[in-house]
Amino acid sequence: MSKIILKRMVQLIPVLFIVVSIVFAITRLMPGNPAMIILGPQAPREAVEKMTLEMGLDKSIPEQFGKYLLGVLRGDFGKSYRYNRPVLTILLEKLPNTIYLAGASILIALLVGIPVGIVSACRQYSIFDYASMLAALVGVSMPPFWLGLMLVLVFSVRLGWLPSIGMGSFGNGIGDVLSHLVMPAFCLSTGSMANFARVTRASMLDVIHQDYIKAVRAKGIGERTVIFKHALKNALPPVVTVIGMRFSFLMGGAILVESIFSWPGMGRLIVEAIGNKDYAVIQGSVLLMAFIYVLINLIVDIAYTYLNPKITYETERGAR
Amino acid sequence: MRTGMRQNANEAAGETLLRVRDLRTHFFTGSGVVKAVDGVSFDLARGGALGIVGESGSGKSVASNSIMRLLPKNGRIVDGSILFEGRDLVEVREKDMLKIRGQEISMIFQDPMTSLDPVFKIGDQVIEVLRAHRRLSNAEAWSEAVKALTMVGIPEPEKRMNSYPHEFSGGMRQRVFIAMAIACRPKLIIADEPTTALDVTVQAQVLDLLVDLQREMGTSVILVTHNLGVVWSLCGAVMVMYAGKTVEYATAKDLYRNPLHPYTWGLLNSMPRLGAGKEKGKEKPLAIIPGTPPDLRLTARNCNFHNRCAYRGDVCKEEVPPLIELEPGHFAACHFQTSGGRLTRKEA
Amino acid sequence: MTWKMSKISKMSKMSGALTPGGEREGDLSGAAQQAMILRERAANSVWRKLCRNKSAFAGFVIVAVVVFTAILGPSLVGKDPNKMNFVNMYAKPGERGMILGGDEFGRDLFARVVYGARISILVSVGGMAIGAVVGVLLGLISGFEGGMLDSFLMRVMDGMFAFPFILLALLLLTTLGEGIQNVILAIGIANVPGYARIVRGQVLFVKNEEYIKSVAALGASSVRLIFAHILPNVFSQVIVYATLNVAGAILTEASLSFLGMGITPPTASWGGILKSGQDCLQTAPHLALYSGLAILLTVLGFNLLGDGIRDVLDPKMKT
Repeated sequence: MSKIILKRMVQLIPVLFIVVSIVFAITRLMPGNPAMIILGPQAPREAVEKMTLEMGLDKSIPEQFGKYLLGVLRGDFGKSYRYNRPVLTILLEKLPNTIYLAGASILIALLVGIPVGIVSACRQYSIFDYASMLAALVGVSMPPFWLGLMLVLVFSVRLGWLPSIGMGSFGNGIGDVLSHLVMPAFCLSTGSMANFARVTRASMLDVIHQDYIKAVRAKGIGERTVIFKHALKNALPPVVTVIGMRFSFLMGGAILVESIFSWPGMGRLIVEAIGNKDYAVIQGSVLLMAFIYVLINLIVDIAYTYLNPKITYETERGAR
Repeated sequence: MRTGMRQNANEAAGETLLRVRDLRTHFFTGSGVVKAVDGVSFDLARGGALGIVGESGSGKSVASNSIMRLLPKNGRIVDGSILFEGRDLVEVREKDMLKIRGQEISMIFQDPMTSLDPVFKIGDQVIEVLRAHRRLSNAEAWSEAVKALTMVGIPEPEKRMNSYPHEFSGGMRQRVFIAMAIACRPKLIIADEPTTALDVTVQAQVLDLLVDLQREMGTSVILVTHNLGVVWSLCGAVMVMYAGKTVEYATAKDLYRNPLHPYTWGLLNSMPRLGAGKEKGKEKPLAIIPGTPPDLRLTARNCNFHNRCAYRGDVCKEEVPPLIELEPGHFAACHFQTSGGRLTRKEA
Repeated sequence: MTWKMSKISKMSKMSGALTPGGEREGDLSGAAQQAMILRERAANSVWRKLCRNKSAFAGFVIVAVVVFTAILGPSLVGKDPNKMNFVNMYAKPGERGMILGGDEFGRDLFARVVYGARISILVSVGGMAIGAVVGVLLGLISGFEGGMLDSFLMRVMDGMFAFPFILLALLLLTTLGEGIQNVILAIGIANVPGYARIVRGQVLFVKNEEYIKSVAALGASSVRLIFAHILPNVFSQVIVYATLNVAGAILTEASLSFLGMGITPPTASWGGILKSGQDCLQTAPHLALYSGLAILLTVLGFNLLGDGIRDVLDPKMKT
């Protein structure tokens, strides 16, 4: 098992290198002289030149990239000119908020999506199946920011039940935190919820018609055990893969949802940084998001291996 | 040479374990009702072995699945009865059926590569069936499972309990599956083409195993196959199916010596036999039955075999022939094989 | 298998080996049998199947209406979507002869939503086309050539995949600058890895099929092999992906515009209308409501169509 994990981690190195290169290239290609942006358009020429030297912008591109790469490896993402603080500090401040939001969303999505998918598969072509699959399709098609606005319109503007801005604080009790969380988390979860329901259903349908499920029934095992023990365990791998993929969507969705609900997380940070042309922050936050994605997919890979004994067997044999 | 599990069929004592009468299982699809099983009758004595033969698509598997009541959602037993120890399985509630499956009747499937759950250790799968039907402690269930694996000839059973199905060869997997089937000492084992998916060399071993187990435990066996050769050596009685119907049912001996239905004749003629057809130094090619079986959505108005039958008459297109007892214990369904008159079998 | 509708074919698959006779074509009851087979053959063409597939049909109708609106709508509406009239500011739907009311500058919301359809379709189809052409080419080359080139290209694609789609499009757009052609380009580039991966996977699969090997053994050139033999085989998957991809691209364009980075005012775009709707949610919720509904319905249409095409072309393909 540890061999597989190690192998997967080694495979990640080139991907991470490419990620850093892409981020570096994109930010270097962005229009405008960073030194000028920091100092403002009215800054005197000498100051801009001095800044350019200070930032190492006069060096060749490979040199700059090398320096940047070394910095990243040391955990130095540069400094935000806007906040005049190290980017890493800012990121570590915002990241937990986004993880908290994304975690809550994925939890909601899993708790609703997977059971709906299972029931749909077990009652294929029933009214429940048709209704939930239509709902899932609408869920996949819904722009999350629109859903956010509609939720705010109904629950904050019209009914006044829920706050529409910020995270709340534990100082005001758990209720305050939850009431701030519920709309953004639900809003961010709809796409994933729908996705999980669809994939779970498809995967379950695939498994339910396999010989081994009939064989389990032939053993006199009750329907509940057949579905939840045998069918579900066999149907899970594709679902787990999708969970990993969904994190990417969640991070993307967070950009929108955090903007709507003024959620102090990574998404809002990126949008603000792009607006301010705060390159160090853009680079740092984008890199962090990509790293998280890669990390989560590593975890998914490992979970997948755990769920499917055949893969463990084959890779172990291959490794020998 | 295998010494078969002879059934004293219907003539001698043997109390009847399973009595199937006029069983009809239909599938309701958007393009019509598929009458996959449409009139199947046979008896099986306690401890006896019955072979169900017929070409693929004749409804053999559906018939055996019907006994287990393991049908897909669109399939239904629409008529007939399945009396197992006097209880009609058609009427039994699903809840009670759970107690019968795996304990009273168990089943062995065609393809061992797909019939074991790939994500559970085989030990757990054998234990599962034991614990579903018997109150056992963990240790007892474990040792019972090991016992079952030993019986089917798995080497190092203690160790293999922790292996996953993909770590076994096809023949070994089928042995594991048989272990699961016999774990609760069922009264009846339905083996649905248990060797079709296996290598030829392994086929014989698995069949031998089934014979041994049947003898040891006194279990009744239904062997579904398209291989008549296997039936002669293993089964006491034979039911021949064609297009969902029982066309002939007799003891293996009677069927071998005196087959009565034209379809059975065709089936026998198309069987390769050692030494056969070599008279006068000529190689006689294997006979085939011309034509194809009917569409099962369109049957039930006439003799299903009429379009392929060399002996057909007008009545065959008009009426469904009933299954009648022509000789004691020997049944056939043909308009021209009656107590009133018989057909003469032409040389193939 | 020759069944009537996809739903039925699923049912027959469900019964699997248990409905043995179902697939047989006998020569038994002549006329009835013949008629049934003919009916089934006719029902078998892809087009007929698409029409019978309810979700595909619904999707097709929605997509057709939106595309029709995008092409002809603006000339049919007869109103200038950019004409401001402060009297009509935040007019309620139905007031002053405006079906969907007025926006923050008193512009006709209905006209703007109709013009938004044009932008939305243009950007999403354009982005899909760029992504598809470049991605399919890369996938074909990568899968066919293999080796170092393949490893390199695929690592780059993996790297691009590590970014959330919207973030990648957002970064590219920031680099490229504003303007509709840059939005199309940004979405197009972000689309590339998806196509490349699918096509590469298919090529690797198809490449080992016997018939491709035999064509290669007969001395067909690589180019001919790729375009005449391999491409047609990956085509159906690409079609399905492209249809679903348009849906995704519409959402991306709307997201970018909503963040104020995509289509810039005064050009009417659904995301842009939503953005202004956010600011006046309390006073004029109809702005956000109708522009969002337009997005939802259009995306739903493409998703339905894509699902339907997938069911018809290859029921085994998964999301």
